[in-house]
Order: sequence, then C-alpha cells, then structure tokens
Amino acid sequence: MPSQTPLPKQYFYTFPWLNGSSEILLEDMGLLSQSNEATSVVNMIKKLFTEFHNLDQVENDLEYRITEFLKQCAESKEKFTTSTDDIIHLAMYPLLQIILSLLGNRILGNAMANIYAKHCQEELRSHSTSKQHGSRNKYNDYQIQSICHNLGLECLVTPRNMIDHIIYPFQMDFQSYLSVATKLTGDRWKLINRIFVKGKVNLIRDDVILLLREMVRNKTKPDYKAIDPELKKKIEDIPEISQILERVEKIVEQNSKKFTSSLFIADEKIEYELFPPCMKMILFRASQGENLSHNERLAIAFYFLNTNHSIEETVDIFRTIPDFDESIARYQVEFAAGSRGKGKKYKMYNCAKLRSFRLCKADDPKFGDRLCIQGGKRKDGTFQPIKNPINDYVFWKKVELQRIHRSQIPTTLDGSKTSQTSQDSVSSVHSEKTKK
Amino acid sequence: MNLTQYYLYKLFQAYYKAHLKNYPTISDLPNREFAFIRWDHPGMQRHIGYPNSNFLLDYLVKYAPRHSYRSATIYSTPSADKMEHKGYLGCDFVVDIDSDHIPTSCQHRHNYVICKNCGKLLLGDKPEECPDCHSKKFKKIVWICDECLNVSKEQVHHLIDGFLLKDFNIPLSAIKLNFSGHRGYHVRIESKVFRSLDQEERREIADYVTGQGFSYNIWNYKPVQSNMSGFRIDQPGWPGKIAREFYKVLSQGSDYTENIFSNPRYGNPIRSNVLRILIERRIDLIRKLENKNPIWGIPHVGPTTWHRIFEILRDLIKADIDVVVSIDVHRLIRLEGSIHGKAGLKVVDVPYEKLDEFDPLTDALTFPKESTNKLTIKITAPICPPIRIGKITYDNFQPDEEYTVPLNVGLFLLCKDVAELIKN
Repeated sequence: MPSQTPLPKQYFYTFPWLNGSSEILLEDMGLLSQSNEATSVVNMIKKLFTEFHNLDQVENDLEYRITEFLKQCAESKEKFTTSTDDIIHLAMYPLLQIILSLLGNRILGNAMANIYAKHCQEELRSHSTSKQHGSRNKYNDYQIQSICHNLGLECLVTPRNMIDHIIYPFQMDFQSYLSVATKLTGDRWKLINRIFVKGKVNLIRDDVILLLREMVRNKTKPDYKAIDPELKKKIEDIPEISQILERVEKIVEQNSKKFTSSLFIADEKIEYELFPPCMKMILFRASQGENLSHNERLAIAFYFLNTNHSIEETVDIFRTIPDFDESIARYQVEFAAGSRGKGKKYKMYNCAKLRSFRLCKADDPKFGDRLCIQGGKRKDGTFQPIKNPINDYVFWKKVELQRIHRSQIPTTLDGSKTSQTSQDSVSSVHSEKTKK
Repeated sequence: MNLTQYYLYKLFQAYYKAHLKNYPTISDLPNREFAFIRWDHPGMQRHIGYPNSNFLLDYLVKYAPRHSYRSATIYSTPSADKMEHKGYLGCDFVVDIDSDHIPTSCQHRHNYVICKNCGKLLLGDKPEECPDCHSKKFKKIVWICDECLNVSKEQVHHLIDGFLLKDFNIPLSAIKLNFSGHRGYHVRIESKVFRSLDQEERREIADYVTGQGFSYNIWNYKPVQSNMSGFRIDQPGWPGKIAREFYKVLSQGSDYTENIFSNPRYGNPIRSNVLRILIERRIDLIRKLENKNPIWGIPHVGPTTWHRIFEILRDLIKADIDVVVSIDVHRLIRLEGSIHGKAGLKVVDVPYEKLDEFDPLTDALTFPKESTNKLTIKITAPICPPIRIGKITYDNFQPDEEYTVPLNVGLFLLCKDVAELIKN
C-alpha cells in the first residue's frame, strides 16, 4: 500500500469518498474521542440530523440535501444541485450509503455512484483563475497524486517524463493500473496499447483523472449487504430516515419508467435464453443501473436492432442507466437502425470485435457459456466456432436447447423415443440457418 | 492394476521413499488443495488438504500416485468439497508453457493415434474421426524430442526475458520455474500483489505477453499518402518490440527473411510476389530502421500486408503460453517433486540462470542416470519413436520385440504406454 500523504481537510469535504473522511467528520463534530456507544450507527445518524438541521436556510439542512440528491438520482441527472465543498456534503455521504443500502435499489445506487464519479472527474479537470497566475488547473499533479495514494493507487508524478514528444506526467504501477483499467472497455485501456516500461504505465493527466473517476464509481456503490435486519429496523425508525424513505418511494413512483424495464418480458423477439453471454452481461449491468461504456451501448443496441426488436424496445434498455436522456437515446438508436442519417442500418459486431472491446464473456462464471468457447457441435462430432453473437450463437444455442429437449422426451415402452416433433424442430432450425 | 502398472507403482513408490528427506518444500502447504490420480483407483481424488508436509509425504509413499497435483490457489479450508466453501485467499500467477499448444514440425514425425475400433494408425494430431471406420475414439501417443523441449525452453525465455523482467520489472528471485515433467515448463509468481489479481487483471497480463489486442490506430500506424507510418526501434512498448524484431529478421539475410515470412508458425504466409518486393527492399528497410525513420514506403505493399507482416513478427516476439491456465484462479498444477505419470520424468525446479544448460532428458530423470538397473520390456505399440535418455538415443524398437534397457529408458517407455513389462 502506498504511504498516506496527509490531504487538506477541504479535500474531504469535496471528495467525501476519500479514505479517512469519517474521521474528519467525527473530528469536526467533536466526536472523535467519544465512546463506541455514542458513535454507534443509530446515534451517529441522529446526531448528524440534529447537527445539520436548519429550516431557516434549507440549503444547509441535511435532510433537504439528501432528498434533493436522491431526486437527482431518480431523474438521471448527473450533477449535484447543492454545495459540494462544505461539511454537509461530507455528512450526507455516509447517510446516502446507509439509505441506499436500506432501499436496496441498484438503479438508484448506481445513479449515486455515477454522480460522485462524474463530479470527481469535473472537479479534477476544472480550472481556477487568479490575477497572479491566470487560469490554471484547480488541482495540480501532486494533489492528484495524493488523491491516488489515499485510494491505494501507486502513482507518481514524473514532471519531465517526455516520450515521443509527449509529456507523461504520471507513472502508475501496473497492478494499480490494471485494478481500475480492466473495468473500462476499449482498446486504449489495454496494457498492450500503453507505454509500459519497467512495471510502470506512463499516463497523461486526463488518463489518471478517468481512472480516478472509475475508481470512485466502484468505491461509492452502496454495499447492499452491509446492514443486518435488526439494525435496519432501528435505522428505519429514525424519523428523518423514515421521512426520506417515504419521499424516495414517491420519487420512484413518479419516475416509474426508469425503474421498470422491458428487458426480461416473456414476448421477446429472441428469448433471453438465446442471448449470448456478452449481451446478457450488458443487459444485467443496464438493469442494475450501471453506467455502460460507449462500446457496450453500441453493442447492445446493434444486437437488439438486428434481432427484430423495435426502436422502442431498444431505447428501453437504456432507461435504467444513470445518464439516460430519452431524446438523445432515441436519436442514437434511430440512427443505428437506419431511420435517420444515411439510412444505413448498422450490423452486429462479430465476436472478434467484442473480444477486442473486452466485452466477450464466454468464460464468465455467471453468464459464460461453453458453447462460445468450444463452438457448436455438428452432427459428425466436430465443432463450428462461434464467430458472431447472432448468426452463429443464436443458431447453435437453439440446436443445443433442442437437443437437450429431445434427450428429455420420455422413451416409450418399447424403448423408442417419441421424438418426431423435436426432430422436425431441429430440421426447421437448420433450414432457418440455410436461409440466413 | 496389471503387471506393468503394478511395477510402475512400485518404482514410483521407491522414488518417493528415497526422497523423503529432500522432498521440495511446497509454499503455503496447509492452504493448498491436493489432488491425485492413483494406480488403483479410477478418476481423480481431490479436495485433499494436509496440515504439514509429513502427511503429504505419507500419502505419496503409500499410494505413489500416477499423477500428483496441488492448487495454485491458497484457501482457508482447502479440503472443503465445494469451491465456494474453500475460502479463497488468493492465487499464484501461473504460466503454463507446453509444446502441446505450439505447432512444431516434429509433432507430425513422432506423435500418432491409433483408432480404438479398427486399429488404424495415423501420424500427427488426433483427427476428427477415423477415415476407415469413422470411429472417434483414439489412443494418442505424444512423444518427446529435443525439438519440442527446445521450443518450450525458447518460449520461457520469451516470457521471462522479454516480458516479466523488462516490462513488468519483476525481480528474478520472485520468479519460480519448474520443468513440468513432460514437454514444458511452469512459471509461478507467488507475490502478494500477483496473488490478489482478479481474472480480468490476469487476462490483461496474458493478453500483453501474447500480443493480443494491439491497436494499430492507437499506435498511429497508418498509410500516409503512399507511405506507411510505421514504428521505430527506439520506441517503448510493443511498437518498439515489433520494429526491433523486424530489424533482427531483416538483418539475418534474405533467406532467413524469406523463411520467416513464408513459413509462419501461425496463419497465412506472405504472398511470394510481395515477399520478393520486401526482400528487394531489405537493405533500404534496414537503413530506415537503423535511422529510426518510421516512414516505410514500399510500392505494392499495402496496409493489409503490413498488418500480416506485423502479426508474423508478433508471433515471433510473444510468449506462447496456455492463456486459460494463467486466467484460471482455481487451477491445479503438477506437484513439485512428483513424477509425471505419462513420461516418468520428475517435476523439478529449474533456476532460470541454469535453464539453458538444463536438459530434461538428463536432469529430470527419476532414477540416477548412473543406475545399472535394467528392465526387460516388450514393445506393444506399432511405432516406438526414438528417445534420447542422457547422452544415448535409443531407437530401432520393433513391435512385439523384447529389449533389456536401462531403468530410466524402461520407465519412460512403460509410462508412454508403448511397452509392457516382461516378468523375469
């Protein structure tokens, strides 16, 4: 672990997800040396609401801030509407973690993580202006380095590190780099496409900011199993909490479209069972309200549009993701479907392309499928590789399912299988493939 | 157990008994899962844990298993019979290099299959089905020769020299190397950092050392008017590796260059007319590479051909590893110090500095090479390819003939299942 460089207190107000922020909060409230009982979760929650209760200036009221923030999450807004540099901003973070854990709503939880991640990115990219220095980065490279260290990322500032006429002001240990970069899709994050020398990945400033953004996204996702039922009851009985929960319920109701998805309804064009692992993973992530990468969005849209789903159904996939904007999503889906622009309908990516985007999940423990790895088993026992998630996968999955179905048909008394119908259906799959 | 198997069991047992005192130490032994394939029991016995090495050695002496494995993973309860109950604590980073996965010319000379149905013999790899009776069941004979052992060794050098030491900056002392007991090597890194890597992070390392996912766009490799903007030999990362390999190939002469691009290990060769142009411009290209000039303009050689040239160069640079092994965090690997039941050779530690002088067919023999013990065997397979043990190559084995051979030679042939023991 990197050594902890002390960070200015203001950083903990602005970035409440930093390690050590709860100690700063307790210190500011004069509770650092209090007994365990005084700082128990329930007592702490009550104290926070008492300490930051201000109905005269609603902006400084903790309950108001939390409610406003949750409204932002529910409406897919990606910004804080209240101050992000005061102690209340710090105080609301642990409470939001608790409230979202109580709610168990993954879509809201991921929307919260998305807002914190985007805020981190924007804040670290921002500039400050002064008469003496003009406009310059609000956070210098060393300050970014300190934030990395606080989060356990081994990253050093290397001011004069010029390679091929480009200055790479940061070097990150490959282990730290991989721990975050593997969560990002796209060729540019692959180690092979980085200047990687002697265990260090050379990075420009904006790369480090994007890596921090992803780190924050993962760190701020609520732990839905953190609170046991007994404690949950006690927390829900706190009046401020119960009021917030009640309000959130209403907000969710008002935004019901965002919280319901047509992804897994029974009358899909291609049944969910026939979806390849890569698409199942993207759908799962979308259904949990996780932020999808650009490539993930394109892949799932191309998949839906090329499996006879309507534009409406395709737009529906994105309703649950944190930055959903219906008009933008609809425009882009229509473009991909060929209803706009030059009228060209985009084809589905092939497996090689998906692999290069790191979206192939053939061996994923949850969604993986042996079919993708070994290929479709032909009648003669040989295997045909799966090269395309629609043409090849769907065809061979149908064959596989029908073979399973056929093997489960009970045998008659004379030992023969009553399999005329299933034999027919395999033939129909073959003829379908021939047509394609 | 037939007579041959019983004798092999006794030989293995004698080996383990003789090595009780100097048996290699297994790191974190109480946290490892062990697994065995015994002579007297079908299938694999797994989910076995030992509190210390005495228990392991007792088992090895008692059952002298045909194959012995231990987990690369460390668990809090390694003997739990379900993976989710084992308590995953971390997994060493393991790289398996085996000439089984690498196309070599010798495979077609010494590997063969026999159809279990009609007895048809076919040289090379296992076909989909027997051309005569269409059966899909074969007995496979995989042999060992200097060529395949050297290919594995070469790939270990690629991995350790080319990637782990230079790029990943891993100290040599942290890299453990074993001969696998058959046709390859296992490279292990047991540091805390590597043990904590998840599957995706391991995949990324595997992709890096195998050259997967290289993006021409990102590295700015593109046609500029009629030229190609290529790479420079002093560039860091993979572009520099490709440029340096290209320089190395071109510098070794026209014949060498032609051979590399017309006989690639993987994929299609470069078309002969294009290759001729490339060779004609060889000196010019060498000069450009030496001058670190990345603009390589050759008429009639377009971006697709350049990409293919780079793929061939990539395959020369990469470490040809079994990627699945490196990604898997629940892998069983051969137990150090055990005997490989398919070759009768030992799984031994090989210090990397001594890899070049390490000769598996001398240094991994189970019994002392100076042993005067002999075995009388009868060749049962239709073909028994030559085998070098120590400095002597044993060949001209004929089917159904009996031979009296040194103990290590007999052990190898019996383990390979091409011979049976003759009772004296």
